[in-house]
Amino acid sequence: MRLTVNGRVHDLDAAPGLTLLELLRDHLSLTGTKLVCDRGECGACTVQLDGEIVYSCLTLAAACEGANVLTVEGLTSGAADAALSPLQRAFIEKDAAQCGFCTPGQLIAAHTLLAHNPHPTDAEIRAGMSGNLCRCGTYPKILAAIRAVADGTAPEAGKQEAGGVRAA
Amino acid sequence: MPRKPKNAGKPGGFVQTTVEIEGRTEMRIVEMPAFEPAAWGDDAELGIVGARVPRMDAPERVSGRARYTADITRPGMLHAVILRSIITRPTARGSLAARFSTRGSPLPPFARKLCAPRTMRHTRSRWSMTRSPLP
Repeated sequence: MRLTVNGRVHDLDAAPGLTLLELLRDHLSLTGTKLVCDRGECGACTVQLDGEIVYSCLTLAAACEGANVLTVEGLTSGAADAALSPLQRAFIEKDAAQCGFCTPGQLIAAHTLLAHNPHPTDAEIRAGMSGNLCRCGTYPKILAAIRAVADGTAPEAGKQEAGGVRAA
Repeated sequence: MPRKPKNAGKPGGFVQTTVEIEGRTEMRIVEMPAFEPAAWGDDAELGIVGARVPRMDAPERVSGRARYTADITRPGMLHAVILRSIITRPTARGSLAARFSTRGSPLPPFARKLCAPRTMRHTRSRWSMTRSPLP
């Protein structure tokens, strides 16, 4: 089967029972997308499939023939921190990733939400993000990060504070 | 009327106080700390408290580059799972038809040892192992 992932075309053999998540993680080593509940409840495995979000743990790889997939790895244009997207920078700025395990799914859901609706209301953000759970409870910060991108107040590339504790 | 505690009210001494616990009031004698640092003033310049501290690994976390345990695969890595027996009392609910053997297993010796019935006899369980493909 042929699958385009983050702009790269792959020719793959997918067993009939293989999920899209297993294909991404185990065959393509794209481990940014996470497995948590394995039954479409938590949203950690959220990826974009032909422009719409899907739970990749419930999506059979064989059903994605010819499809275009976007994962968290595809949001970044390179390995450097400067290559992070405005949404990713806003997640750092607003501290929307605590343990970070749900973050790849949250980012893809938010990215897709903003692609469909660049200026959502808070209620529309909450509705759009309702399929993604965060056990750390960073929901207000995730909302603030998406709000910042929608309002154009997300930090620009290269203006992010460097990580680490600075002593006085 | 309890006696006045020794060194009452002095640093390093004891003081009598009342505490409320679930609606009851109890008398307690507590020790006064021998050394208590002074609280900082309203105009104190604080370097850490209240300062913005960005997470060091935030860029890794938002880019999918952060490596969690489940993301790590080593060449030839063994995957193990405990198989619990569905027969809790062999004499009452079933009989032993065959004994699990590790003879001829392609697993390395330490893994065969772990899978051996003797290792697992106390748990009525056994390990099942498979191996990731070697490069």
